[in-house]
Amino acid sequence: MKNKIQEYRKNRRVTQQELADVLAVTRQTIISLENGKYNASLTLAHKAAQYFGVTIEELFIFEGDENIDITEFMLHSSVFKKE
Amino acid sequence: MEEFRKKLKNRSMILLMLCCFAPILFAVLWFITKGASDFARGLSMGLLTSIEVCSIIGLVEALVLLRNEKSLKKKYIALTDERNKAIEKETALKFLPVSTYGIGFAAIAAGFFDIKICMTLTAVMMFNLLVFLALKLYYMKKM
Repeated sequence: MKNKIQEYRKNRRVTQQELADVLAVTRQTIISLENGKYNASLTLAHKAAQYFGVTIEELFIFEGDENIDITEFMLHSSVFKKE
Repeated sequence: MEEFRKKLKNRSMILLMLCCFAPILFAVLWFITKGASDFARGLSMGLLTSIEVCSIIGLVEALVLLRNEKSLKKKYIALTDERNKAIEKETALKFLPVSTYGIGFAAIAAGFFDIKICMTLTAVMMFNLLVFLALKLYYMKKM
């Protein structure tokens, strides 16, 4: 899972330490997040998105298996099935 | 954060009690282990001494943290940081197979030299696996 944390952080002119303090995590966690070495939990993702004033989907890029196959979903969903 | 401060206060009280009662604990242990071998006595005394030393260090750390808001927050973040927790989880997860296989191989190797050591290592391995199983069952019910 990629993310745009570094991009948003730099746009806001916030240091890694400042962001870490706001999100109540260590600076190392921010570094790992920005380098894509660590995936944030739902809570941390929510906090980060809240801080930058964006949605989680805008901040985090979900690729491949991280998304559901929408066509498959439509095939099996009762909402889309003809009666 | 307030909960952490409360926890730290409680911990410092327990550690303070451990430090205050140290002479009594040493006397009780000395009395209980009377007649035991020097090795067993030394081992239990050494263990109690190390517990007391850790208590003193823990107490000093807790008192320093309770008096310094900045350090308290830093410690709280370090303890609750989700990456640190994830690292601990991953380490614990990898530790079990490595230690189990390691002890297993050591037990097999010891079997060629000393049956007592072999049986002890096998018992340790079985105990490890039993604890793992018990914890797994507990968390399966909890989550």
